[in-house]
Amino acid sequence: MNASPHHIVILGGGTAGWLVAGVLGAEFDTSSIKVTLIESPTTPAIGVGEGTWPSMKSTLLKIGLSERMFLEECSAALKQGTHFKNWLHGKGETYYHPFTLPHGFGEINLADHWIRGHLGDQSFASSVTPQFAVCEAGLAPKQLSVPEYAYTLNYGYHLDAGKFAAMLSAHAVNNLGVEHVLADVTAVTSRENGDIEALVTDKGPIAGDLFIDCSGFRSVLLGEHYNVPFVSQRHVLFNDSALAVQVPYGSDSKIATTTKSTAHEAGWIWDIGLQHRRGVGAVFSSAHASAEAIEPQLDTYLKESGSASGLSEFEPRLIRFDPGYRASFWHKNCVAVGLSAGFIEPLEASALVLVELSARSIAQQFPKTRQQMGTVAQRFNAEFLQRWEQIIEFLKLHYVLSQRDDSAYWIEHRQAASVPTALTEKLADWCHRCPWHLDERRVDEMFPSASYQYVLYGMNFKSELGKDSRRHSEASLARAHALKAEVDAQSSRYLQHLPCHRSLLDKAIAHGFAG
Amino acid sequence: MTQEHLAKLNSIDHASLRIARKYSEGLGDNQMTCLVFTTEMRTLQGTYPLLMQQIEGHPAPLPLALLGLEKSENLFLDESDLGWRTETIPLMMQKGPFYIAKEQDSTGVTRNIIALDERHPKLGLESGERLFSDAGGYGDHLERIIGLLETIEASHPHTLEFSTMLDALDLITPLDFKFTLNDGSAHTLTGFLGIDEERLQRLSEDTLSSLHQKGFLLPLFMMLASQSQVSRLLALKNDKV
Repeated sequence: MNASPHHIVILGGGTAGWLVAGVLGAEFDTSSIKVTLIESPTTPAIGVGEGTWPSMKSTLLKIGLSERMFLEECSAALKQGTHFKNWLHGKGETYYHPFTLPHGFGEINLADHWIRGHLGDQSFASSVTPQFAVCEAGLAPKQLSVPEYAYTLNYGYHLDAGKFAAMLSAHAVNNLGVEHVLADVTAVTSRENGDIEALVTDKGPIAGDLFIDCSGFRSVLLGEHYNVPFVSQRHVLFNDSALAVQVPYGSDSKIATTTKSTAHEAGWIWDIGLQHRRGVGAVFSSAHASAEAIEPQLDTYLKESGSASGLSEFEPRLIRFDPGYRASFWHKNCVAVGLSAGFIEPLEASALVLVELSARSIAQQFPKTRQQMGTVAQRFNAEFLQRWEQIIEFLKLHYVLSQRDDSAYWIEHRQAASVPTALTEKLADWCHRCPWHLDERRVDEMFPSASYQYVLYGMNFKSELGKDSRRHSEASLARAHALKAEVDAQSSRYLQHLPCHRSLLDKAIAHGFAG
Repeated sequence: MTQEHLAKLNSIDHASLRIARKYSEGLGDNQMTCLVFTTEMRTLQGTYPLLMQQIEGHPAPLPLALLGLEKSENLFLDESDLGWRTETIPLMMQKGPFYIAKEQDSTGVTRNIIALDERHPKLGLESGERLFSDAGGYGDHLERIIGLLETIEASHPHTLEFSTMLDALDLITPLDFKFTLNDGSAHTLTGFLGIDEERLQRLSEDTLSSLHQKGFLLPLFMMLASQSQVSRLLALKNDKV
């Protein structure tokens, strides 16, 4: 059948399902392409991924949501990057991976000059971006007079995933014409070519042209129905468990403006500040530690971060996951987005951004005919396979650079057999050269070379550059000094003028931005 | 604008000169900003972001209306008869090629005269409204312009005092930001200053009362309120792409 696809059926009413529904609903005119979302009234949403990338700003803008309403309804806060602690030695050392690129990044590679000692002896991030000082001071990345989604320093969000799904759902149904069906899928009927014809539910069959599997870890369509194999990444990234708690604010109600990622001897702890509570969780590898063995780590962290009675106050929730992804994501007329496509530890908050990118990719190349769908699927699979590989390499980098030797967990993470070949090759290259634009082979590179710089030089990686033999080395040095002076000037100006994070959130919600 | 193109307005040299009433890029209205005065802030605040900018040769930053988001862009120009999309237009835009200049008469007394920039694209002999009537008197339009120039002249010192005071009280904050348009292109707005609301709220009663007595409190809050108009500019720019 070569008829134009006109009915998209999304299975799953979690964050992934509603985000996809929002993006597609905003993209297409309902009279030609209709979107239906089937949500099980009995399956609770997992609600992973409370951290986003800066890309969420443009996604929300595209969906047509006001930033003020989003902040209010999702108890959201502004995230300017990640603050890493104890990743190198476990002795209290810290570094940042901020969202703002090094100053003048398009023009000159400041990392080159920082390594040669031309920019002074401060840390890499503090030498190349004012965002370091602003994060340290806990200030917001913009003023109230800056319009919605615009920014002085780049930011993403910390959000309450449950509230986020509810807000997207209301918007998609009320304003974008997405049809919402509350039903349990009991069977799948197929066409002769193996395509899914309809999802049979307790409310009747729902036929469609394209089925988007957002059913979470179960992967009802791609996994259970099509048996697309799962590619485990446990041998690269060992973590497969998390122990999570929700912590109310104490007397100090300051909201952190970065995700805090604190390593411990068998994994790391996330700390995400929302408006009304913090989300804290210990990520670990069940092969290296039991949940009972992790509890004291979490307890200590909670006590040190201002929750006096520690873990005893809370009922921690244990989450198990299989680190890895499906061998392909788009099979026949079914594409998986979200947990059904794969999941990896949330070290760089890659879950929601993959949903955004998948939704955008589907919207942009939506196949007009069934025949065309094969080509689109191939391209989609190649794109996202590469994205997963890029994410895994970048996450592994954090472990490979660690010098911790206080447990088998950290030592095994550095064993050559566990490191993807591509990463090993890149590291060998970077021993003599700083990553820059050349390292972004494709326009859709997940992590800009700036991200690699922040992690490499935040974790004391040594690039031996030798003498600068370029003809224009003096001009470059003068430019680097000028940029460094600008970073310093911006830092002091922003410290003086940017408001505190909570005060900005309160006012933005009360009056709106640029008000 | 260099002084040498300025000529003293007179009904002989300029008897048949005409002025275009319309606004357009071709007529030189494609300005990203224009200076504003304390007296007009109340009427402008609902339409334009009233910000400040450090301008060479001035000790304190001067207040201005932001008309566009990049150099030579005026988002308020449109295809209507008037060429300007809103009813309220800043004085400096309305006055066009006319200025108040100083002239010393034979007795050594300095007085204000009206000058005009003869090379300005709005002036010509072919089309537009005549400046002078056949009898040599001011035409209606010119009459109105002279009124505007007098308002500007009267507000100027108050506006300078206002900005000096804001600067001294440290109520001015840099407003730098990046924004992304619907077509995905990224832009930066930099070099402008806004009112620092947090500092404004911390002012003492005495300071507030003295600001009020000097007539600075109203324009100050008008500027603060106007900052929400930055979003309007963003929307106008998005409509263009």
